[in-house]
Amino acid sequence: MILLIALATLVIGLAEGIPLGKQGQRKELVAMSCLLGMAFLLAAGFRIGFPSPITLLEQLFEPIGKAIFK
Amino acid sequence: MPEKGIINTSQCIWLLFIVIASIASMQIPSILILQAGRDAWLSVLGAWFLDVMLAIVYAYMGIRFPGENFVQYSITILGKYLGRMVGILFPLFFLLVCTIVIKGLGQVINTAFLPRTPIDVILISCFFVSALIGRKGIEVIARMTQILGPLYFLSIVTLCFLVIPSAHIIRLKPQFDEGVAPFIIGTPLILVFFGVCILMAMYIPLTNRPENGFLAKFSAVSMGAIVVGLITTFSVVCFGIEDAQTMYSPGLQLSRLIHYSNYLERVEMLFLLILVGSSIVASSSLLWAFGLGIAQLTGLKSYQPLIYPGALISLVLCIVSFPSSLQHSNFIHYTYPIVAIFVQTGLELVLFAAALILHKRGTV
Repeated sequence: MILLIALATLVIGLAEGIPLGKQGQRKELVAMSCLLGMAFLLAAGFRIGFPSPITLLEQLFEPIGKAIFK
Repeated sequence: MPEKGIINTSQCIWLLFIVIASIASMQIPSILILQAGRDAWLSVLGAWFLDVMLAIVYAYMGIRFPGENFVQYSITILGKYLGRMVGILFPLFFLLVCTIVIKGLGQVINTAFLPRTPIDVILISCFFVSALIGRKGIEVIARMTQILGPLYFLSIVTLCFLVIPSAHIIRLKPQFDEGVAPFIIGTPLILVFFGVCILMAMYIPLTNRPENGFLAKFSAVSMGAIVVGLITTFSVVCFGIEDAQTMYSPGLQLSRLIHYSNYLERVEMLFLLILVGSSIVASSSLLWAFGLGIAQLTGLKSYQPLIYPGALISLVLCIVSFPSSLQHSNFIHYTYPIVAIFVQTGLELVLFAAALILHKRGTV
């Protein structure tokens, strides 16, 4: 899975990044790279056992939800 | 403004309706039946009323801050830093909903139609198409919904009428057999799914008549409540609450009941069409809203480069957070409602109160 995500990151980075670089849109390039980096880190983190943000949300709010809902 | 597209009120209505249609096609009716039992249809009615009340606040804020969505007016109200911290929660919430919608869609397709295909393949295909549509901008999504929305509405209503021969109205009785508590607790549960229509705050600045924001949400939520109410009620009267509450997609099971001699059968394909179409368009709207929100927060000129990375994050979240359908259902049932109430109602009411107290207004 991690290889697939790495490949997708690379493909999106090249497909979106090259036109942005040519047009000189540096801010857009940085924002896009940050999001791609986040996607890759999430996948890599999962691989080495880090919880995803959704798991953290579950740990935080599920007890409240279980107290309210059946 | 990174988005240059303009939509009309009718397109805004169908954009919002399609989000609710995507929810109605999945497992939400069964979760509601599990919670509220035979009174589930009353919870839908209650949620419709509360959502319309909430729409008044969103529409008012849209008029008070002309040309600004909630990401932008949170900065206007709360200032550069605190406003950005609050404002980023809306795009992140849209990404979370997109993750839930696509995972639900993938799960239904995988279970009912393509059991031999790995779910990751279905998810990748769905995200790719959603991102492709989302990147084209609001006008493209709006034109799609203008064609698909009425078709879906009529199809779901017709589907429900075609299952009437299998319905046993006695299964709806007695109402309130466990008191009013199930109905009262069921109301916020379904409200948080109608509440995804807070997307209206992203659409209002782009409509040709922003003053019609309330009308758009009222119409969309009313049609959405009809659809969810019909599917929920018919699931109860056709299957009984014991069976309906354990189904992954009651709407799909309802469509499987339709069988008129040899000339009308396999109608579930029509339901699949509604399910796939509405979920893909809804998730493309959500990805668009995520991209636009982040672009506005960071002061970018265009949001398009953020759509594919957003879809990739959502895909990774789908794969790593919900390895099974049980975890997905548990998240929707117990965690999502708390997060959604906080974002949809809590944050907006705080912004509303802060705008009134601090006398903040948008500039025309």
